[in-house]
Amino acid sequence: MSPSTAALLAGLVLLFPLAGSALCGLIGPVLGRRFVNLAGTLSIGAAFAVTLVIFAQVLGAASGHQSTTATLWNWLDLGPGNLNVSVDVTIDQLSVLMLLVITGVGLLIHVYSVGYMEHDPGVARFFSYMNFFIFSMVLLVLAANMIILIIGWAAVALSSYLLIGFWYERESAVLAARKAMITQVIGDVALVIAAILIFVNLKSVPQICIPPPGEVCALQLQSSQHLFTLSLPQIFANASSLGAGSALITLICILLAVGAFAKSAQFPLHTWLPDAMEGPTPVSALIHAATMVTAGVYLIARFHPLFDLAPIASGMVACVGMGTAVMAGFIALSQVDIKRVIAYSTMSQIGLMIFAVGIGAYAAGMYQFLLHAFFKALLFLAAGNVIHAVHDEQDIREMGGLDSRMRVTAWCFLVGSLALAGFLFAGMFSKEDLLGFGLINGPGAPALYIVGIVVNVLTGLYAFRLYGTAFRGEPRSDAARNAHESKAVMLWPVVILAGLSALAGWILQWPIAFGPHLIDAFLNPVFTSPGSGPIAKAPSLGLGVIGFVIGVTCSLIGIAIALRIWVRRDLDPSRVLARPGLRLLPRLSFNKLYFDEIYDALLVRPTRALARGLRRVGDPVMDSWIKGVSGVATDFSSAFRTIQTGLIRDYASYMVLFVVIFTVAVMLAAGLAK
Amino acid sequence: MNVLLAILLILAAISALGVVFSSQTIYSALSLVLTVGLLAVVFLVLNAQFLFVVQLIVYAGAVMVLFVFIIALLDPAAEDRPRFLDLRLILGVLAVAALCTAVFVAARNDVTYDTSCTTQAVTCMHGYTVGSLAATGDQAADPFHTFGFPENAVNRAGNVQTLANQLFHTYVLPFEITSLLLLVAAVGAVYLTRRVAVGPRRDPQAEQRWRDDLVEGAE
Amino acid sequence: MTLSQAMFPWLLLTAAFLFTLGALGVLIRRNPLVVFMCIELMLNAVNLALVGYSSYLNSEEGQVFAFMVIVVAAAEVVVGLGLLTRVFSIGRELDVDDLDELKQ
Repeated sequence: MSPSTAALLAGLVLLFPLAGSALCGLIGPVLGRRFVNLAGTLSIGAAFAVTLVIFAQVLGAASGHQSTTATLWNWLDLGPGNLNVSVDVTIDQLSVLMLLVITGVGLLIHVYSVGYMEHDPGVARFFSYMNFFIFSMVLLVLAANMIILIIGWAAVALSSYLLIGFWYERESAVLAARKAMITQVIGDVALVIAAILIFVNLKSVPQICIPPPGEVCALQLQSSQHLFTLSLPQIFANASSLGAGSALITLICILLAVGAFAKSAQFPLHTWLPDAMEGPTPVSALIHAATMVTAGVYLIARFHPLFDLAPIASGMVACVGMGTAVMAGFIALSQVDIKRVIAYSTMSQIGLMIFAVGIGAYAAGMYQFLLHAFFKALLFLAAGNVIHAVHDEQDIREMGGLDSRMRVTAWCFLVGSLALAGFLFAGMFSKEDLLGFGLINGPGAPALYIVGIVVNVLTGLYAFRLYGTAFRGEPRSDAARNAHESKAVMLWPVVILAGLSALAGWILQWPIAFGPHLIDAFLNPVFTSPGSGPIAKAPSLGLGVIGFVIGVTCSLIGIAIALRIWVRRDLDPSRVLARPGLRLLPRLSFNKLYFDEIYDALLVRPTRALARGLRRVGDPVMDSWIKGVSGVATDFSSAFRTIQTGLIRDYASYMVLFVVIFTVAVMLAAGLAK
Repeated sequence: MNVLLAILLILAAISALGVVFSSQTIYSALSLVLTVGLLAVVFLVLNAQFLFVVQLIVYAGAVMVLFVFIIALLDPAAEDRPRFLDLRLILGVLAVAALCTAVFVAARNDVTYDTSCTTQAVTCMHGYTVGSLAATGDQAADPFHTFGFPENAVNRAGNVQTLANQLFHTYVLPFEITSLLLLVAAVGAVYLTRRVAVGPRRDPQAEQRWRDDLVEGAE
Repeated sequence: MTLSQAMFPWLLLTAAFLFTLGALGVLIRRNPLVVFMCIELMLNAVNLALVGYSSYLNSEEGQVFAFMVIVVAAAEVVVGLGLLTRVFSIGRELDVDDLDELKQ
């Protein structure tokens, strides 16, 4: 693909959602619901069509030529040694994979939203925000310049903020939106600091360029002018001048990771994600499950040349990812809000992705991202159907028995739950794949692997607790008794996603369910390109089979226990949990390990107390100073009161008088000195 | 060109007298338009083409329209001529005479600039090199012959390009700060002209309240 | 088509004259609108000197500063005229000497 083609296609993918956002937001309220539904959905459909063209181009390109970087225009040019920003886009296997999910799953969710937002008066605003989110996300994944990437990064946070607070009449929604924004900004600041560090340390090094095979190095031209534009290929080509394993590159990578953690809701910046479920359910499906929260995974995968050089930072990323996976799985066990359970499962699954990219198994992480996008969007949309059917009730204790009333949704939800738990469907492939890498890679391998199989058990448990409680048994409320199936426009996206969740793994990995898969072959050129370091070693076939069997077995154990407790109800966990050592566990889980309370006590309250204390101390101290100073000034100026006539023209006269005297004096002095 | 410049300067001085000494506000404004326009042409003669355009757009276009608009809106009455022996008038005329004489004499005696600055590659005034491109070779013998030259170094690349290069490289920060200044001015103007709840216009009570507030604030 | 360097003192003289004339106007006129116009006149005089020096010293920086001065002048007019309309709207006379609250 030539750079001009790449620029054209990338421009189109960016343009369609942006135009859709502008159309819906500006003239949507005037032209009405039908126009908004059409414009909001068609724009994403057009973007998806262009994405398919890009995908075909990348697939058709010769080996080694799939990656194209094009400069749309030079945004900021302050000359050599200064900041230069060019609007670069890169089209390679990684960005195409992201684009496919963003626009493809995005399209399905937009179609679903037409039904979900049918009675909402703010539908124009909703589609405007959603389209703007798609635009920001596309900008984020296409960006080949760190500044542009940060702009996309901040823009997705903005659209997330707007959409969480979409129902702004609710106080809880506004608070949740604010919480999400503040957490995101912590990550943004970390990214900006990382960009500054990179810029300061690389702006003056001689630019090294490694040309792609059979091509002339385009960067060489820039290097002669010493223009450092913060473009990603340039950063990666010169990453080694930061010093492999040095404190500097470790710091940069940790800052990048903090940015990724904030976006992907990883410990300790995870508390915003469950609250973000205040937004409409399609938002939760698109932004807080399928795409935006996985941007952190993308960021680390995109910056793999830096992370390859910083093993300490990568190890930290892997540990945080796995820790979050366990923590979120544990909390998900006792939540009662259907969307919050899925939110915690998202957090847990993204933890696994973060773990994968932390140990260098980038392709495995992106594989999990792809399949997770399918089944998590499916779960959220199905949950949206349920919430719709039981009249905005989200508490699973008020549901039950929905499987006979909403047959299609229930089957799709079952597929999603199996995919999530990792048996038969999507999750089985991607999760066991990345855990397989964990057997021999990462800090203290296979310690984190063992934690990983605990996550498998937990996943099976909470996935089927949710399914069992919400869909099986007897209805526990009138709303659940009177529930009925949703309309076709809300059903078809769910069915399509269910099909994808069920089949995608099998297709991509035919004929064997472990070992290499198509995504691996597709993405690895990106991660093994010249200039980047070693990637994680794949486990041998034998080890892979053993890991696969252990993983699936653990998932099945979790599923089986969950089915006995919450579907057949012949196992009562309360007796086990009543033991002295375990009595605390349910309370910890139900209260989300008290993270909100801890942050409140550690950050919010001390800040408030400090402000109060400073005010108490500050008032008398500062006032005495100020009053003293002003008193002196008052006494002093009362002496000069007589010339204060209050007439502005008099003051101007004094000024002119002295300006003239001063000027003439200076001139005279200069003349005398000559 | 010399004659043209002289005529322009004299005309500008005369119309400036009109700004200060017209009894009607609108005549002052019209004189100011004339002065500003003449100065714009002076800029053109001095080869500052960009400022010529900016002067016309900003002053003759925007600022003067604003003035005339406000005059039409507020309709100020003609004011009495100042008394002949007003202390301020005497002081002002003396100031005009003193400053003009000082500047002219100083300029004639090369006091207002350092002649070494314009020669080739010479740094002066605290090591500061004047001129982006110093004069070359034989021109150094007569450093001042480039005054107002159409082909002088400043304009060799084009006046607008040269200025843009300065504005967006060396002075990019001040330039951005001016945008902030304009923003603040716009916000201030909106704040000042917004509808205020002090009752109808020319309300003596409102005025009293305003004075009271000011007095309170002062105490 | 060349300018003689002998013109430069006259140019500076005109700038000084316009500047002091503007200052004089600020002192003797009572109508705030005219006062503002006189301030504009002073700013223009400074611009004339800056551009003259720029041309004389063969340096574009004088023109850059003149540009900044124009921006400041525009901002000043906006705020100043805004203030005037505000003073007018609360029922005050348009007279500089009437605004003597500084004394109180």
